[in-house]
Amino acid sequence: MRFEGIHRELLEACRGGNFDAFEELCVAVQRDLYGFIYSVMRNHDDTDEVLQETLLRIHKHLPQLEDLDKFPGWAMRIAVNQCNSHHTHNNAKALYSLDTEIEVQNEDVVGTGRAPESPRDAMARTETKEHINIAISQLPPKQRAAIVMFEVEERSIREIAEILECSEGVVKFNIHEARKKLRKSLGPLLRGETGGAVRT
Amino acid sequence: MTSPHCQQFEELLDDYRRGGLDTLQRKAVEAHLAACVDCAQALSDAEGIARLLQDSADVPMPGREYFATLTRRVVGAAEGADPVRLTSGVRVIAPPVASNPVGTASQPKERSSSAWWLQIAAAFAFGVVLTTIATQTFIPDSSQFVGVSMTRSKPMPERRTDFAEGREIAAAVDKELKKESDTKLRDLAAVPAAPRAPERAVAAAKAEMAQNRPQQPASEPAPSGGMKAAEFKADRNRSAATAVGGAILADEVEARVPATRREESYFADSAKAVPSVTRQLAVTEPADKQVPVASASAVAPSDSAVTADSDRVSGMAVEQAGTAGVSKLKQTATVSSKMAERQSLGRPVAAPSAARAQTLDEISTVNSFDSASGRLKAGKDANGTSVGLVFNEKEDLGYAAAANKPGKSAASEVYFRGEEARFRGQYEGAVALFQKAAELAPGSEVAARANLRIAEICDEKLKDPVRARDAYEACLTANLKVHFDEATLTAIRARFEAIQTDLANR
Repeated sequence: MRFEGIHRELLEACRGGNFDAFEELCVAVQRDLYGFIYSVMRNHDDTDEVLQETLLRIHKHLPQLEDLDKFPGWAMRIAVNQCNSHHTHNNAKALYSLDTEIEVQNEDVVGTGRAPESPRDAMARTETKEHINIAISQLPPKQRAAIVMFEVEERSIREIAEILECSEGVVKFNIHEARKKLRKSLGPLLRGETGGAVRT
Repeated sequence: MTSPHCQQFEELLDDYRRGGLDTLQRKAVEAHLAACVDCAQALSDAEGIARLLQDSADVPMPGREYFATLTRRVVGAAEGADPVRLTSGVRVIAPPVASNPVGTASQPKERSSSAWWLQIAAAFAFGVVLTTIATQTFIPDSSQFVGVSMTRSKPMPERRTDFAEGREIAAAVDKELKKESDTKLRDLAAVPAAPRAPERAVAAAKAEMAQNRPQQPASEPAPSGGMKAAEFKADRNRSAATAVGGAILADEVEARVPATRREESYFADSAKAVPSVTRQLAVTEPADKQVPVASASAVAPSDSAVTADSDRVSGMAVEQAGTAGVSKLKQTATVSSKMAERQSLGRPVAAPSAARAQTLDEISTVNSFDSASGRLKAGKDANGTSVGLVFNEKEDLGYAAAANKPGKSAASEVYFRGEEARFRGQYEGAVALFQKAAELAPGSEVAARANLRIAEICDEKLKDPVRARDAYEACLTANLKVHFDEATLTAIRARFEAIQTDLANR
């Protein structure tokens, strides 16, 4: 989480109730937060909802943050807590289709900037991604956050422990458990088998 | 990773992957990995999972408009505006935020606890006041009230309980019925005056009711023998309904059992949930079709020692139905009448578990498939009777039965049979199956995938550019392209144009 463009004066102004400053803060953090929350939630709707709550809580509780240098970790903690508490009973599968309605800005993401690939490869890639998304979304929230922060964001165990407000041992346990479940659910993909047949 | 020795290394594997170990540790880990298959596998899995997570971590970042809107809405909500909606339809909960909140906790509870009990108490008091006003103002006089309650009576909790009990009884009886073989049931059909299966159903009901009803006085003689059985049969017929050509109308039953009208209306309402309940009552005991009520005694079954008791029970059941509620009888009658109705209509009688369809014509509805083999396991015939299916390799009933039932489910199964054929290298057959799948559910995702498979097979395996082009073109039609993501569509368009160009150059 980089949170570029955030400086102490901006945070101080936000704490003072300056809404222009808060707007600037939102602009500065929302993309990074969206990326992280999406990595955990794996669908736009949940990400959208959690992001809104996170920004509102940042605004509300910023005056209570004593050390402004810890803002990135503190904001991350709020985001993680919101992810954890967010009810994800609507399974990700039902929501993936909504992602296509989002205006996609980064074209590289969808592969048009890459070398041409066969329709089958393109579909297989999409299916693989969906398979992984479903597997991740089925993890308990804490395990999900821990494995994403460790493997995707490449944070250290200590850093994750600070964000999750738990011991390093708990973080290791969550990562271990998450791996165990993913190994089970993603077995064919790990062995290099592609999921050709998709049940509808 | 079972030994303590391995557990020590397990903790180092993540650091090893990230290059966080010093030289000595790294060499020790490498030496252990070379010797320990489990740890090597654990490392491989961890790397594989990390790779998959990273590969799938591409975030489809929304455009600027989304973030601009989000900022506007969040800032608006923070300023104390009313709850608002984002473009995606997600409601923003705007908590009342103080402009300069104070406190020291890092993240206190969001829910305001101030005087919540006052709000609940106020709501309760308001409800009480409203109820009082409504009671004094809007309730008509008692006669009107009764009229309304009779015509608009709703199922009461105890009725639902009865109904549930009845369903349990029916299920138990149905289970027993399933034990009957086809042969026995056909034999039964040849004995019109002594329907064993319905009797057995009623006997089961008796056993159930005997547990729930108080014991009868000892002075009341238990009827037995052929004559008594016939009397009870006649009594039953008189009390329940008049047999007219064997058909007993449910309305007539209602008319003759006025005390149970409300139960009847309840069951009429419930017939949607369990359609057989009320309708089945109308054809209860069609075996009595040839038996006028007045001459019931004349047809006392020869094996009355067996049937007498059943008839007595049946009579008791109807008696109870007339006084305490007809639900249980209805439930038992449902089961017995299923068999009897089929007999009266001259259709083959088959217990669900015993029936096996042997030809396609017997299958009208596909219920389930064996997902492992992709073959039909169960279906229903034209009469709605569940039938199993013995899979026949030659006739391939599973596929063909699915083909008889258009729809997404069947299309999906045919699609997988196409996949099977493709894996076996039977490409022409696979194309035919994919075409069938597309026909079964036009415009569906299955159809889209099937067309893509056809295009791929024709393009790469069968070297048939014309069919490949047509299939790619089908994928690009308006109703199918919605099922592909943008990358896939781009690739399809590119391939379609390439084939088109190639064909034009020829």
